[in-house]
Amino acid sequence: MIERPHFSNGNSEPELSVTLGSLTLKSPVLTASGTFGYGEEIADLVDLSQLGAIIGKTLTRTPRAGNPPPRTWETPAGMLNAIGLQNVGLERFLQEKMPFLRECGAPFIANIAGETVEDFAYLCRTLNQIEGVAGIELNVSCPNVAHGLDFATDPYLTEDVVAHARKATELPLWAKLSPNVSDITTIARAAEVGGADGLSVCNTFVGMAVDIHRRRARLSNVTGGLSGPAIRPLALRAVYQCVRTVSIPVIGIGGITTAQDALEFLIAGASAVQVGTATFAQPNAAIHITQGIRDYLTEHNLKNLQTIIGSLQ
Amino acid sequence: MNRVSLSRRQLVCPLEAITFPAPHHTELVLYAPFIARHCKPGQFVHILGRPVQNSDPFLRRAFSIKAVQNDSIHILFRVEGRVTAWLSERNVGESLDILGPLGNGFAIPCNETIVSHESPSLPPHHFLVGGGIGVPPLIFLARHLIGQTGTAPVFIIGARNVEQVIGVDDLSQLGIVPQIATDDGSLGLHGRVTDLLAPLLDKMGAAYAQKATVFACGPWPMLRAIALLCRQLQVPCQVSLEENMPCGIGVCNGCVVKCLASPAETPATAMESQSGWTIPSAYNEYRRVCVDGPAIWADQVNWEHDD
Repeated sequence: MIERPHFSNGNSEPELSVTLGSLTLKSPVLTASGTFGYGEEIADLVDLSQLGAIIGKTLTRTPRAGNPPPRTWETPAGMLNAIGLQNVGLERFLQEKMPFLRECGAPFIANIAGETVEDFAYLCRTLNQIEGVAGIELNVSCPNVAHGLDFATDPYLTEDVVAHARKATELPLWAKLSPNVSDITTIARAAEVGGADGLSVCNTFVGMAVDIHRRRARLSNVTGGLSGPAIRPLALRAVYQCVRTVSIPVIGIGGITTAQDALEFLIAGASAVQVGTATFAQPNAAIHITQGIRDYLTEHNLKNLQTIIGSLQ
Repeated sequence: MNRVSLSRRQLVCPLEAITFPAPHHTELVLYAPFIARHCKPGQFVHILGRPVQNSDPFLRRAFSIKAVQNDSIHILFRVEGRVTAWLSERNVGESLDILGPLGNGFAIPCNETIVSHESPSLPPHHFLVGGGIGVPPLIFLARHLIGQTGTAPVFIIGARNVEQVIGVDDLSQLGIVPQIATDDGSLGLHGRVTDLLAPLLDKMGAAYAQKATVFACGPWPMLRAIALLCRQLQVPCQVSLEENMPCGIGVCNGCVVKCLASPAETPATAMESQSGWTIPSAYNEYRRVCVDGPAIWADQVNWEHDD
């Protein structure tokens, strides 16, 4: 049990809140899109009020069935997924999922995707009016759907989609970048120019696996997105590079499973982190990570996160 | 709303016993009072099959519940890969990180009269068909059905060969002698489970057929064959499906099965479900096996593909 010293502000607990542009969150640990449903599905196992924020499964304008199974395959220290953005569509989401999210005790950030910039703008315009939406994350980087959604491999397309989204909403707007590019800094810069308030770095890495007995790909989509501890060093490098390129906050994602992992990203310059695949192995991963960060600050006699964010020497 | 009753917990459960009832098969007895008290036949647990601090293999694995005794649950599985091998090396007293009970469980008809031992001429109402490692959840179901109706269901086991036949001792403790079919004829009938099931369903006659239920668990081609047979003979059929499950709790949409776009009018609509049976999922034609299943009415599944 770590002894908790008293700080000059009179509290015995370090302060974990982070400010990302106009958004202030009680902790730097958020749950990643596609790994937490819309919160309600996991609420019996996890105390949602302890989360920095919940980022919902990607919403599209119309419902999507997603890809045929098999959609997932475990790989060394991680997994491939090709879910295919299955979701009930914006209208049903607003009717069926928003009421719970408004009361769940954690801020809700909507993750959205569209086939055209008009789709993105439409989604932003609609969500802009919805009470209980704290921000919007643009999924411009899903690798699992046929052409049209991978804006984030091109800086011009990225800037264009972000600019259209920017015009359609005043809510905090984050662009979730793809690492499947030769130079993520050009995409990062483009998103910032387009008007993003923050960058989520990064989405999954395209990968595949093969069944050698049937001589077929393990995923029906053939390729899928790799996530989990295996990608952590790659994601960390992407975060580091983006932090040095833009002046807007960067939210780090990629294989974060423990508080130590999260701290690597924060020290490298991430202002907050998202926890995704780790939730599958440990539903309360985000909460354990939050506590671990708190313990680290206490151990190092730090009042808050500001001293460590970007403190890489 | 399409919801299973969400009585689920994450628990650390001590291992009370570990046995090896057949070559390459392991049975674990885990002290898990919450799960033991709340689980229903057809439900499963999601077990972390590695030390907590390791990263590989990363994901949990799903195991059907075979039995409940006092405050403990029994699971029986075949050793296939690294996780099942690691679990087979655990010692009594070690603890496992478990999520459960998960899934919807079988929908068990309850609007029928109790069949008594004084009326042996009435045909049996339940046919349980297990293929290989699909047998354990049906053992749980068989015990439950005996408790509910006083009559043992018909139990059919299919396997590749005699070494893959499991559950015979458990069933004999319930007073059930299973009919057995093996692909190579090393035990029982040299043939398929449908070779055993078809004549039994046939001789029931149409009137009884609609009141019967076939419950099946096993490899996809077996389930498909049973589903098609039951459709032909108009016998209600539930299948317990399996799919890789990253989360097991309904948040990732990874474990889906393709269902018919608009659920068919099931012949079992008159039956009430005791297990919180969900209405068709909001997720269009793909349903999550972990929360909208694993038990699904066979006539709602799209059986198009071969495996």
